[in-house]
Formats: sequence, structure tokens, C-alpha cells
Amino acid sequence: MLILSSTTDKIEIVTSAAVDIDWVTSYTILDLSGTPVVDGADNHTGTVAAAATTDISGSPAAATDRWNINSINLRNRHASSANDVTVRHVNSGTSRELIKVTLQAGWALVRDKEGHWFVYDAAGGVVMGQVQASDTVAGLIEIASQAEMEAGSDTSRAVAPGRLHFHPGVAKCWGMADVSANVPTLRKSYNITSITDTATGQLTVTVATDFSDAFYAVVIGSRLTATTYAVANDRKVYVRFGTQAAGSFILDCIDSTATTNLAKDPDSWNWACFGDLA
Amino acid sequence: MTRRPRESQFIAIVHDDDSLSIMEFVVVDSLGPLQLATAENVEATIAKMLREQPELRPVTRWRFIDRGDIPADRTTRSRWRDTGTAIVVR
Repeated sequence: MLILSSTTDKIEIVTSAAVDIDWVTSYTILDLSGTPVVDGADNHTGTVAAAATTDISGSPAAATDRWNINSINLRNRHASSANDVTVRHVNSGTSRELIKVTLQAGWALVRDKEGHWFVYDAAGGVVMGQVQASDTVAGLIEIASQAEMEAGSDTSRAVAPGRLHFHPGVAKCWGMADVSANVPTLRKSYNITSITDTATGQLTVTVATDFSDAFYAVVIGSRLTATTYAVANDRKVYVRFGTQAAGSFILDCIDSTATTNLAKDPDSWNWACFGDLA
Repeated sequence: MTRRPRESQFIAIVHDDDSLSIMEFVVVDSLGPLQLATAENVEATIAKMLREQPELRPVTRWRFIDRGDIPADRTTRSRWRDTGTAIVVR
């Protein structure tokens, strides 16, 4: 319980800015002049529109009155600005801070009749602790932006699935095309618009979201078409000379036939690209 | 875990020397819808490919095909030609 027990006791708030704070304080009056009786209940309401110290309860009218503060509601009704609000209990001229909260626009600070303080956001949800999460402290965590993912150095923000690919260490596109049938067929891929079978042993790959330039790494591989290692069964895949562009590249596959090698299809084409997206 | 089924559209691309490329145009990848197989989107992809890969021969025409339209024998790959209604070996 929060009791006002003298004619100078009160609840006051200190606001840091000229940002409107609506307040409602409700209380029950006990009369101790004789046999203690409940002598009524009331609300005090108002708006603070300045950086100021404001009485939000009033004080008992008689020395024999006791006011039991049932609840305190404070709401920042400004459209965009925050206000630091300190709630103080003034007892016999001495003020003690009860709580201090930065109320964002639309937020409310409520003390219920059990004495619990809650902060509500503009949507009416209870605001959890504002402590930032760390390796050792549980708390709020922010989602990493594209720039923070690309920088790759932040250790306090969380990675969202839709932004994982912006990290420098993550593949920006990849694919696996099977050639076991009559034409290369993409079995799995990411950020690939199309593959084009332009000739035997040649595959043109177009990327959906392009790289920022042609300087990215293409990691490639192939699957052999046989279990014997004859030169004709070898399948070596390369990025075709002069074809690596921001949004496409051509892969060549050759065997090891002397002395010029022959263009051959692999059993599958595999590639993954690392770099910076446009 | 549920994975979305992939979806793609095969396209026969005829070059100015009558050679044939077969494009697999990705419509849905493992993350979901990527693009629609509209004529405008296909032409944009072909244009991008030709712009970035000047060694590819100019394209004279293209058309949507089914995977089953592609010849089964890949040893004849260099002789695949598109008649406009079918892909044949010449």
C-alpha cells in the first residue's frame, strides 16, 4: 500500500519535457478521527504539459485522514516525443523516488492496487525490460540490418533468416543441376533465375539478385559419370574464361583426354558463389 | 520440416546459327515464388544473359517447351534443332 498520512504528503511526478502526460490517481479515504471508517474514494486527474514537478494526488484534508493510493496511471499522449517521468512519494516534506521511466509516445506507466508497476506500449502490450541482451545478460535484442550483416562485426544483434545471405561469409547463390537425364535440371538452388544448356559441357547460370560487380568467388564442383578414373571419365569444371559477370557466368566441363581435353557433361553441376550483392 | 516443391519452365532458345540452347527458367525455388514465367520475364532473362555473355550467339526466337519435348539422346546434343513445333536431331 502507498499511504498519504499527513496534510503535506502527496504523490508527485517530475517530467523532463514539454510533452503531454495525462495522469489519473485514485485513492480511498480513511477517517481515523474516531472509529476508523472508510470515508470515501476519489480520483485526481490532470495533464502535465511542461517539464515540471506536479502534484498528482493532492493531500489529506485533515491530520486524521489517511489516503490509500489505489492506482496511478500516467500516459504520454504525444504523437512522437518521449518524456522521462519520475514518480515520487512526498512524506512529511521528504520526497522519495518510487520509479523513473522513459515513456515513449503512446506509452503508459501504471501502478495497480497491489503496488505493481507496469509499462504499456502504444499498442497496449506490456513493455518488457529495456536491458540489451549480451553474452551473459538476457534482454532485448535488435535485428541486424543489411549494412550490419554486410559489416559482419556486430555481436549484439540477431540475424533474421531473410538477411542471413548479406553476411560476407555466406553463399549469395548456389545450385545443383543434375544431368543424368537428357538435359541439365536444377534440383536445388538459391538466388538463381535460370540455367541454360548452351552446349555439351557448358552451362550458363543467371543470378536473380546480382552481385555488386564481377569480383566474387565461384566455388564449383562436379559429379563423375563413372567410378573408373580413365581420362575420358574425368570431369573438371571451370568458370569459362571471360564470362564472369555481375549477374551471370558460364561453366565449362572437360575431361582429361590428351592433349586438348574434350567438352563433356558431368553427372551433375555444383556451384556456390560468395561476394557482395548489389 | 516442409520444403516447397520446385517449379520451373523449360524454354527452347534458337540462335542465329540455328543452334539450340535449353533454358530452365526458375519459377519457384526452395524459398518460394521467385518469378513468373511470362514472356516479358523470359525475354529479360535472355537479354541479361546475352548482354553479360557476348560470346553467346544472338537469339532469333524462343518458345516454351515441356521437358518431354527435349530429345532423350544427349550424345546428339550438338545437332538438336528447333522446328518451331518440335526439337529434332539433324
